[in-house]
Amino acid sequence: MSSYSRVNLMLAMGVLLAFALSLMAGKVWVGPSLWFSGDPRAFIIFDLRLPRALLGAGIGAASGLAGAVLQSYLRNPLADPGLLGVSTSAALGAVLAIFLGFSGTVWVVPLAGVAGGLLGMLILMLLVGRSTSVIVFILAGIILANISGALTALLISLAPTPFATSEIVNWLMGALTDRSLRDALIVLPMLAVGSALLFATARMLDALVLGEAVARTLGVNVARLQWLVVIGIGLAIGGSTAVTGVIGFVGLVVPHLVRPLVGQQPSLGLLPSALAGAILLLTADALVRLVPGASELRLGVAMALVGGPFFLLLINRMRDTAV
Amino acid sequence: MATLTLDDLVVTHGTTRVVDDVSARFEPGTITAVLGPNGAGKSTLLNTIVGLHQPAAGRIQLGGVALGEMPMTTRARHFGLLPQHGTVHWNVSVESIVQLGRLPHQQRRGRNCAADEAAVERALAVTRLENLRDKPILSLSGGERARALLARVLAGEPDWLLADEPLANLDPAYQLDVIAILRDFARRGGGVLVVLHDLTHALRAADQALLLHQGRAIACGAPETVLSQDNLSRVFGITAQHGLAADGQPFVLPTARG
Repeated sequence: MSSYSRVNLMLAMGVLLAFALSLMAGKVWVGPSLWFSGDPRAFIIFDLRLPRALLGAGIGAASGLAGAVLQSYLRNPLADPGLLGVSTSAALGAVLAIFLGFSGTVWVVPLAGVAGGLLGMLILMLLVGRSTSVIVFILAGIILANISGALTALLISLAPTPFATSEIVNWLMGALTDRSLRDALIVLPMLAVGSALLFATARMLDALVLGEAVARTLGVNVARLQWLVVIGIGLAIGGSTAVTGVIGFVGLVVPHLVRPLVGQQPSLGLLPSALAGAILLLTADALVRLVPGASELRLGVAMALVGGPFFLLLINRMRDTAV
Repeated sequence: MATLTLDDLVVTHGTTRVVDDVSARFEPGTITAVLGPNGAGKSTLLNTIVGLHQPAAGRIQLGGVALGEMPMTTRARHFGLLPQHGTVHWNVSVESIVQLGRLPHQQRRGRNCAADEAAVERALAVTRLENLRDKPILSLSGGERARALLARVLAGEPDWLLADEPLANLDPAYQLDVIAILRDFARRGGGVLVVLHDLTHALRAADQALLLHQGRAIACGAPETVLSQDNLSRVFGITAQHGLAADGQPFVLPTARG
């Protein structure tokens, strides 16, 4: 077995372990012996924690994959799906739905979020126009992120009641709590389609190692590649944000954790990044539940607390190795 | 294999005619040295032939077929471009770089069939990189890296090899290696267009020379005719000494401006 397959096998087992941990951990510890025993605590597993674990695994995998694709596509190890404004525009869509008072209706907030994410991607493509330049792409993404961030802040300040304000702010902080199986059923198919599009870019991303011009002389259709990246990330990150709020840094951190194991070739980083992303988010979400305190630490906040210093470390190391 | 012809080719960047009305003929099995000062349009000419730029006017034909009508995937199998600045964005292994050369052949069928592996092995052998195949590309010396990037183009087994200043930043031994690889490629029937600044290498290695100046083709033909004192003075603004080396081959030594 090649070392690449071995890494993937190890990571896949890690996902299973983290998934099991996510089912068991919480204010009430429910071990496997109770799951099918008819014990009343089993309902915690199936009604509360199973959707949460499914969402954690799916969103973690999609975020890790999106990060790996984006860093390879932009040829920039500091790239993060948040950079393109997908998560902020998805958040804007969902916040608008909450603002308009739809937070009680199950389907509306996630669907508004996905619509926001895809609309954001569409605006991004219009801003980029026919240019295939990476710089233009990044700048357009930053503009989009800023505008949707500003509009979100505007909605918060215009919120009719303090209750609505706190609901929006809470949602924006990102969490997997109180998500139902129905939420999982809305978002998981979108994540699957988005991930399939992202996996289809593998060899094209490899060709980009030699630069865009050479990739074109190798027959890579860079315009098609850009569409695959944009729609794939729109679905994967937009879908994730729409259900859980903004949970950042998975896409930034995970590809860096994976590269020492499988090397830097883009196509070899995709599957391990997806698996490692699932492990990271499932574990983080389980740990967040175990932190003692009256109310649970928000997962998005926890990820940012861990991710921020990691980012700093990364920049520091790049500065030291830069020639 | 088919002849490559340029008819009244014009390429513009904005309002500048970077390639201005160039006509030329390139035969398979020969090396054409593309010569001229910086900014003469040499790189643009090569990039236009592989399809990175669209001509503003004129035609490029391969065996009578206009290249404008050929899809990029087909074109990618005919032409291999070795660009001037060999950027590599991730620190991947030499072998995976060379395998990228097979991409144009993998559009319809999967990757790494026997033909792909054989071509990669041949390219590694020709460039003497077999022992370095697992090394990360950024850990190699400049000369080794240049050979790895050349091996990438060779692995694609193109009919035409378009090399943009492949000798830049190489020590004299590596320069001779690269020239030998280009000669070998032509001897096997491939066509070579190579941008050179070393006039002696051009004189000794090429079967034909194309001299460009401000986008225009000043001369095209036998290298010793093209590199006449008149042309050198007019295009480069230099005086050069022509002579015969001890091996009976000619050399050109620029001696002064003017």
